[in-house]
Amino acid sequence: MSERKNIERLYQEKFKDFEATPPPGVWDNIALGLEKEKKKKAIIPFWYKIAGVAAIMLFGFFTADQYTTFFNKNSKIDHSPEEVVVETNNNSTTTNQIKNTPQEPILRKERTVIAKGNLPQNNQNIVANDDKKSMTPIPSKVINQSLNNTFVSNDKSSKINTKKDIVASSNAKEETKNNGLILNTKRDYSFQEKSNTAKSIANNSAPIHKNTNEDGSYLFKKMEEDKATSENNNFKNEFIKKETKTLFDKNAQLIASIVKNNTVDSLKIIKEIENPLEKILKEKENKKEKIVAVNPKKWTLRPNVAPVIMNATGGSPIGSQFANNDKEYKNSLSVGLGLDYKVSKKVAIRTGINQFSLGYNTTGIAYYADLGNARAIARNNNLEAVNLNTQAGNMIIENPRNNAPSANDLALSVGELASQNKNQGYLNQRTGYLEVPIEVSYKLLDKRFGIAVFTGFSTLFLNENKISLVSTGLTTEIGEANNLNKVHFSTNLGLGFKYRLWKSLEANFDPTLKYQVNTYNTNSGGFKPYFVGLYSGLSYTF
Amino acid sequence: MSLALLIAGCIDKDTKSQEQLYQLYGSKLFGVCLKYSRNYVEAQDNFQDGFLLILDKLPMYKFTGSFEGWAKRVMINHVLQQYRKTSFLELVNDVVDESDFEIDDEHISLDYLLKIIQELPDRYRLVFNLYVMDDYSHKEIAEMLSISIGTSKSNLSRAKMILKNKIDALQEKIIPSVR
Repeated sequence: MSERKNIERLYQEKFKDFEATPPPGVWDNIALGLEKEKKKKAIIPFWYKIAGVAAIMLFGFFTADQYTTFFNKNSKIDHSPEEVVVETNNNSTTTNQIKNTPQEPILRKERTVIAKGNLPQNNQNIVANDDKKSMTPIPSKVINQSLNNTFVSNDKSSKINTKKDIVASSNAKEETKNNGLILNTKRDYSFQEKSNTAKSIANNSAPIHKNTNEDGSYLFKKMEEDKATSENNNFKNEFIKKETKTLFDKNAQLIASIVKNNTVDSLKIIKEIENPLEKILKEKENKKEKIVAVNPKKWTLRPNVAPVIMNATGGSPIGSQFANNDKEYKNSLSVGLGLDYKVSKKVAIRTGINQFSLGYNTTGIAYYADLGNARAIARNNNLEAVNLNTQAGNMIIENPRNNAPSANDLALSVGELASQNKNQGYLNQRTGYLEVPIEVSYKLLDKRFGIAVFTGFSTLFLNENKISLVSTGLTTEIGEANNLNKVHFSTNLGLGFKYRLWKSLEANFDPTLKYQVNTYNTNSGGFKPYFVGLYSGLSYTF
Repeated sequence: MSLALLIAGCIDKDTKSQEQLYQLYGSKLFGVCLKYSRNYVEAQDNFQDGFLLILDKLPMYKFTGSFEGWAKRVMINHVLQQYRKTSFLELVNDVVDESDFEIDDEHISLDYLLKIIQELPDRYRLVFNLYVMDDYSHKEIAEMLSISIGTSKSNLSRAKMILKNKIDALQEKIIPSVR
């Protein structure tokens, strides 16, 4: 029987629900391809992890070294050995310890550097020598250079080591890449099959359907197969319907519990779908979406270290007589843990806890012992803001230029001072804080490399408060400041740079300016400190 | 197992789920490959690669519309990619006789129809499949193949012409009495 049809209809009818069983072995090839994908994905992150951790360690060592050498003004390298020896009651400051760890020296150095380039002229002849008694002048620069050199060289050696390690591991990574990974999966598995199927085509006159009947007419076979397929489909549908019904109950419970715990308002409205089966499937999909929306990674843990560079506007909080003395600000290290909460795509709240201490020296100090009523004198005249301890009880500490008989800014020579039985030194004030910052950050750029700006304030709890007198060959703690507030605040402003190493781990670098407010309760003499911290570390998002 | 669960299992890289998805939809998808490819061997290659691609892209299926439709579209796009390098000729004003003609469809095997489709030049075969068998509009085809609508229409006409000639030739052999 012939019918009038056009080509389009002919093809549409014939190929409606057209199916063809793939030849055997195809699934195996696909499974093979999946295996290879799995392996590829497992190997790469491992090496990125190694490289990432090593890079962070290197970065940490490198930056710690950089900032310290940068802020020391001397740049010549002198290979003379460590010259400054501190013999004090305080056992912790020995030269040995300077060499220990690359990060520690920033703290230790404060106790041992005797003289810096910035001294007023009359101090150029200050002794920094093993021998307490001799007063041989040694240029201050030499001392500092040797200090710097040992410090720097220590760091460099450790730097070199870590570099080697990283090179080794990245080489290993390259090797694995070439040996183990399949870069082109496209034809790997099908190559063999091709030759096999080519042969089968040659042998088989009806390659499409292997079930063709002998008389060559396909139609009858197709009808049978159609029937079987539709029966199969019916069975499938029944089965699916039954399964989804039980699923529906489970989903309802799940959705109820998610709504209860939901912290994000993300319940989507389910679209209207005619087919009830599709509706159930859609609900299941929504549940999946909700789970993702309810548990996104909002928290980030940020361990960090930071070199902290402090500075201040003028004055002196130790005593007004020192207001015009030069101050040298020390760098120190802040260690802490940060915690971020992601409020929205670009905004996050940062908090955490840090521990750091700041120190600075007031130079140009003279001191001498006075057994008569020293404490009263000291307290009343010289150091208003210091609670003297027993060790300082017999000392009078003063700015020699204030009390010199030849007034104003005439330099006092060492000889003159010696004739008054006064010694020269400097005062070191050390304050340590536990800091709890609260900041809001806003993301400017959020790709693999990101930039954010953040601002806020910190609450600072005083946990270290020392004033020491440092002089030729001795450091004596003389007391603590009495005008420091136990709790004060700083206003913070910073930039956050991040680099995403892999899925949940980033490397951070956040230079921040923190201006301290209300540091001193009285007698600050116009001394307003502020500090810049270069917070570096890793952050882990969960 | 419901389809949603099955798909979830596949996304989790569960081999059993993946194999079951293959059992359920493999035949239909292989059929698509046969229609769009030049021959059986290429159809098999395209099918293997295409199925891996479907598994890869499963997270992108949002349960709007049937899964079969979605999977077919992914497969079709994959095959089109393979033949993208073929240039599509611009044909101008090709008038084709579209009048009906007699077909004794009982005697024309599916195999033969498939064979002559595969024998078409790439550009005609793809347009014919997309328009006639998978219901894409000329506008959509033009976008997918990066050709103009006019080219799509004329490619379709040429394809039909060639197929018709071949079927006529076959009918002459089978039903000589008609002539």
